[in-house]
Amino acid sequence: MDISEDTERWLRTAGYQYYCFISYPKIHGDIGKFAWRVKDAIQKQLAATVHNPQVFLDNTDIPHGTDWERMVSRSLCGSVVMVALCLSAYYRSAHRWCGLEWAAMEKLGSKRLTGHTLRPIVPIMLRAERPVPDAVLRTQYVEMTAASLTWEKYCATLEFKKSIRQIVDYIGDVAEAIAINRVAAENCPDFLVSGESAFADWRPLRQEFPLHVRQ
Amino acid sequence: MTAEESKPGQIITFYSYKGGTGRSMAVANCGCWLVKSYPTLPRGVLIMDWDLEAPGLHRYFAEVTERSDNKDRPGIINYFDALQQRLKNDPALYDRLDDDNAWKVLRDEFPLDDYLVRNVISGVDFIKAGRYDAAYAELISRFNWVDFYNDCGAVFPAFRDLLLHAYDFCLIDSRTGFNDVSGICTMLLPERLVLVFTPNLQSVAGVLDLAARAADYRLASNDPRTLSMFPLPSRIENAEHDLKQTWQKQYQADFESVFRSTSWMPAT
Repeated sequence: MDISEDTERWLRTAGYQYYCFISYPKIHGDIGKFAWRVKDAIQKQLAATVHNPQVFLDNTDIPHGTDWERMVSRSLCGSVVMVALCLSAYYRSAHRWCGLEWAAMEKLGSKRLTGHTLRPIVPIMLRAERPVPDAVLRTQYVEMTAASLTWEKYCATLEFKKSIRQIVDYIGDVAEAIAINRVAAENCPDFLVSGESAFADWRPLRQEFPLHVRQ
Repeated sequence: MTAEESKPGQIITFYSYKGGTGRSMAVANCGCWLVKSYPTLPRGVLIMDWDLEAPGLHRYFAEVTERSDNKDRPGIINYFDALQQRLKNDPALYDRLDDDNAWKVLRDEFPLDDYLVRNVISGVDFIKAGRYDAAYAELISRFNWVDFYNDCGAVFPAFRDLLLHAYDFCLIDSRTGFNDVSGICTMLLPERLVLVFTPNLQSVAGVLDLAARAADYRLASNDPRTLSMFPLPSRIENAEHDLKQTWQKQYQADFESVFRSTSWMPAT
């Protein structure tokens, strides 16, 4: 759904600084670059209907020397939707912040989207690995598994562009729903992401041995 | 920051479905080319002979590998055999391997040093398939990779990460065919896969099948690295120009078709 001018205006006055917050595990440079491409594509697509839309990505939107945890927390609170780049590293305890961001956004969404079936998180599935945590399985996801074999090259594909359009439509739906509920992004400067990871109970499974021919 | 703590290196596997493609020679040449082209590599290049059933890569570096101090040096199969024994006797060590920093445990507790033939050419280290003594054949047929993986699977990502941190480039000469060792070489360890083939149907069909399986395996894997694939035609007869052109068109179309079907090369 396109975001109406009224909704755009209301979101701005109600403290929503970002339409989208990109959450991802920092495992290597490729996923960092891909996260940037997702941010850029969502921002450009949103710009078709919204004036100067902002999408948060920690790498580009946190100035050097600032308090990282506070900035991430404040920005998450001031975001309409969180897009999560999901592969097993996202659920691992080594990347606990991903699970904390997920839990915090779910909590914010439960207040903001009361009465709606919409959720405030869009998982992008980058791998077909199993198991997927329950919290992720409960949410309708966008599949981009091919991206994790080619990363930046994938961003030139029709599949990527189509998926970004779907995500932006969804952001529009959530934005309109929040505006209808009239729930402002309150106290974001004091908001702190903390507590338990949404994936605290998740344990990875070992993949079967490759090319194993059973006797 | 030490060299091994900086940006991880790359593992590149050279695979051919059939023998006689010139794969081992390509590995040896690629190692030499890398150190010549990048003389300031901080960690250098490692070449590993994983063709356990038919090892021969050491012969390209015979001046060094056949020297008295290296001739009886153990290799890959000896490393994993010794590691398996150690883990049986010390289960607590395995618990420490089930962790993101497992490669450091392996580096400290089970280093590669004794297995390395240093500087086969300047900047290139080498690990043989094994110690080629009377026990070698028995050892490679006795060692059960599938059981070892099922019992001690965390060893493989730890070993992979150890290589990535110890070297800028690690080149693997894979065993041919579809089997346990070629599975490790093409699916568990590399992020780049060079598919070496000669212009005949069996050779091409074999690498294409492997490429599809490797892409599927990586997509379902918790290894976050990409898997880039590079087709490398070999033993091309330049005198037969028309035939060469026909083959080139055919295998290019075959590779594109497989890459598309495995999501490796989606439509733009």
